[in-house]
Amino acid sequence: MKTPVYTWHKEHGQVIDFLGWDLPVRYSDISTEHKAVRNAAGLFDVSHMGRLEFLGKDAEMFLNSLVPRDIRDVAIGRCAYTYVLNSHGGFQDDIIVTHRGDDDFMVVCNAGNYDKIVSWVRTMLNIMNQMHPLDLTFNDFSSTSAMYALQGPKALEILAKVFEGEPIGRWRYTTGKIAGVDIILQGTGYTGEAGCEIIIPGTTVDEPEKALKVWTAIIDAGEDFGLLPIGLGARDSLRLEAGMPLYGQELDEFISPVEAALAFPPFAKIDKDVTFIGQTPFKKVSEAGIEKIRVGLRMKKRGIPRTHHEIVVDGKVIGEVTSGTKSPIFNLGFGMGYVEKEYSQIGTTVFIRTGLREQEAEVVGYPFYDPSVYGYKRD
Amino acid sequence: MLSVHKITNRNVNIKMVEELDIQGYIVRKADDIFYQKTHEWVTDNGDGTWSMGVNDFVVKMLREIADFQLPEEGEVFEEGDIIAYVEALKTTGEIYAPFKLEIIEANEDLYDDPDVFSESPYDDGWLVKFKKLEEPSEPLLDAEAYIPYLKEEAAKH
Repeated sequence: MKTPVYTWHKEHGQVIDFLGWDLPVRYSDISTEHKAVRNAAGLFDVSHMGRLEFLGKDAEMFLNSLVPRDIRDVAIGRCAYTYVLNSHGGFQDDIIVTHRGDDDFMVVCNAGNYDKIVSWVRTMLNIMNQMHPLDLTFNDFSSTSAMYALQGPKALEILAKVFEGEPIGRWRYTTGKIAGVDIILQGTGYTGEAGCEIIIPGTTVDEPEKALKVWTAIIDAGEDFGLLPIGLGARDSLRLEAGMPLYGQELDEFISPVEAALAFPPFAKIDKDVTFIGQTPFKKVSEAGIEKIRVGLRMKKRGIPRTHHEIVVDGKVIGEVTSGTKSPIFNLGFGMGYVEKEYSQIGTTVFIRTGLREQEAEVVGYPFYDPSVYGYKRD
Repeated sequence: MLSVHKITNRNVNIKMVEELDIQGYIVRKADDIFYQKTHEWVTDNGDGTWSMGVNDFVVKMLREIADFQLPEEGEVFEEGDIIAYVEALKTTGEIYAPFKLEIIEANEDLYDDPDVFSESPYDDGWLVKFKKLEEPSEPLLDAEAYIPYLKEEAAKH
């Protein structure tokens, strides 16, 4: 599958197959792109993600029974991170819900879970509609829109040069125009940096004009600020450095939000008075406690933790790495993984079986960078 | 494209080496340079030791080199064992033993200067030196025998 700006990627970057999508892994090299986002700005094509609308009087109730977060607390004009659980309390996906207006919600889901989430929503709707017809229109507009992320300390300055509309802050929603094209703007992202995500409705692979107009307008406006187009390689290292989990790595159908260390408000309201799917097992795990938990890992000297590497203490396997790479910022191997709870304290020394040998690492908090130097909290 | 160079191969001998350009990847051809299907080169140094590294194709596939894991002197590996890892930002390259061997030396300079690996994979970017402990179960490939494997892999990229 191709996104509306595929031809631009093909011309400027190295396109690979990612979950069936032809997307750029890099345009220049991963560390250059990574540093551009931390020091200036980057533009990502994230059109492969799912974009779903829920319209009607019953939209809020429907979504509230799908996710652990209390959607009633999400005011109009706000975006909210939460997740969809299965009946065992494991992750089906993690998503952003946006309350766009009266009886008007939007959900952005992961590309890898798109088919699953859409069919899950349709199944739930069919069941509920048969019992009691809902005032709810479900509209999947993923293939008739594009979506970009503009991220970095200069992102909002660049946005201000091209965006016709009121500026917004983190986790806010608005609409406006870029290059004369109607867009949806959200104060969200997946890098730890300031910035936004931009949705361009009414564009497809066969009618890419609007998508290309917005893309090139931002690229051109960003030139003086050091903005670069960013591929999937740096997208992964940036989210990892920010301590953000990725579905398929840190999250899957067999992981509880309690284990993933995501079971706190406002992402989840375990005792919500509206029953949501997975609530009972979620509650049980939360009360009974867990054996393993997600942690950050940073190598002491050498080595790069990789998915499935064993984490050991005194020769005993106490966990497994879920993601890892070398930080282009602090030049050390780092990653995330699950460890037995007694080894999850920050500062705990562990060893990672990186291949030939065990290499020393430390359990650390997120983000991996100093938030007074990098990320949206810096001055 | 074919060029012939005289190359001083790690202060052993002066050898006649051809450099073949196979679809944009350089393959060195000489009587004592052999290859594995997994794209490592292995050279008989003529003094009872062997050297090993990767070819141009691996360098171009891995791109941004981030780290190495190299074996230590005296370690013994069976044929087919992983004896070293080359870590790129996105992937890890595995280096396999061509026969049963004992490590004499690893190129630890690469830890401080990984660019040498990318810039000079056949020379200063060598990975390990070892002694052969047993003959390989199958004869090693010379450049001509290896090239079809390279072409097959290159076609995927």
